[in-house]
Amino acid sequence: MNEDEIDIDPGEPIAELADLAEPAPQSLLGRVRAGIDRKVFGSQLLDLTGPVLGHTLMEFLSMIFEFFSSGKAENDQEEPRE
Amino acid sequence: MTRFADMPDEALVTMARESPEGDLRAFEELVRRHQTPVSTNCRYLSRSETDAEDLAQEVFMKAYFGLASFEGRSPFGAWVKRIKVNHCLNFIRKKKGQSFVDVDEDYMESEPALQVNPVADRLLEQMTQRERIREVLDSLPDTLRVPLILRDHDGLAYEEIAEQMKIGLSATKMRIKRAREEFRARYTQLEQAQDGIP
Repeated sequence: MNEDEIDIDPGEPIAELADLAEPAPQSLLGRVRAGIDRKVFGSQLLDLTGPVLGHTLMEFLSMIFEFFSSGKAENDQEEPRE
Repeated sequence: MTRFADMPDEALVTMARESPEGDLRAFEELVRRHQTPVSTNCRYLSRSETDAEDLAQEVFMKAYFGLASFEGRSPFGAWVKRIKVNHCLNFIRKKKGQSFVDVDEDYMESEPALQVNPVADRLLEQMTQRERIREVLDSLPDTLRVPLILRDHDGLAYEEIAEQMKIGLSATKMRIKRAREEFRARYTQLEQAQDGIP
């Protein structure tokens, strides 16, 4: 099908579709502003808390690692010698 | 405020990018300029005023956080239009849990419910042309309404519509042709019913 063939004067009411305009809700601008502020605040919060959380996680993991490695060392010592 | 109103979109985009955090004045002016076409399009694609408001908000938020990637090769309005089309089509797909691909081309004949006059209860009301257009658009199934709006309201090229809807080019053209025929038929039917022509 040829593009020109389809588009030859679609006529009314099809042509009216191009001029359709619904007024934007009055609250839209405020909602956009609030949404942007919320997201920026969220990312700032993440920037601040991210390193703290990361550090805490590393501490926790190293504690677990130390716990198991010291437990293993104690077990090695307790093993009866032949 | 007047200062922003006199500036072209390109200058506002630059200002919005360079504005300190929290200063949204330049971007707000861009929203004011483009909110009507975005809202209208979201309204007709989603068929819901509530969803349209959410969608329009999300489109502008995406635009704001994507400003750094906007290269200015096309006008700001065209760039926002692409974001909007992508976002609205994803929304429709998720909502309906379907794609635009797997539709039987002959469904209009096989689905009598679609041929029932959707506005029977409003026939006695006098409607403006705009209201009639809205009624008829809302009565069309997604598979016809979406390509019709993308082509005849948004002015997208057939190739772009095919790409967005993930269907072939010839299927897109066929879909638009059928959508126009169906739109015209339903519009005439509604018009005649209002004029009292049986």
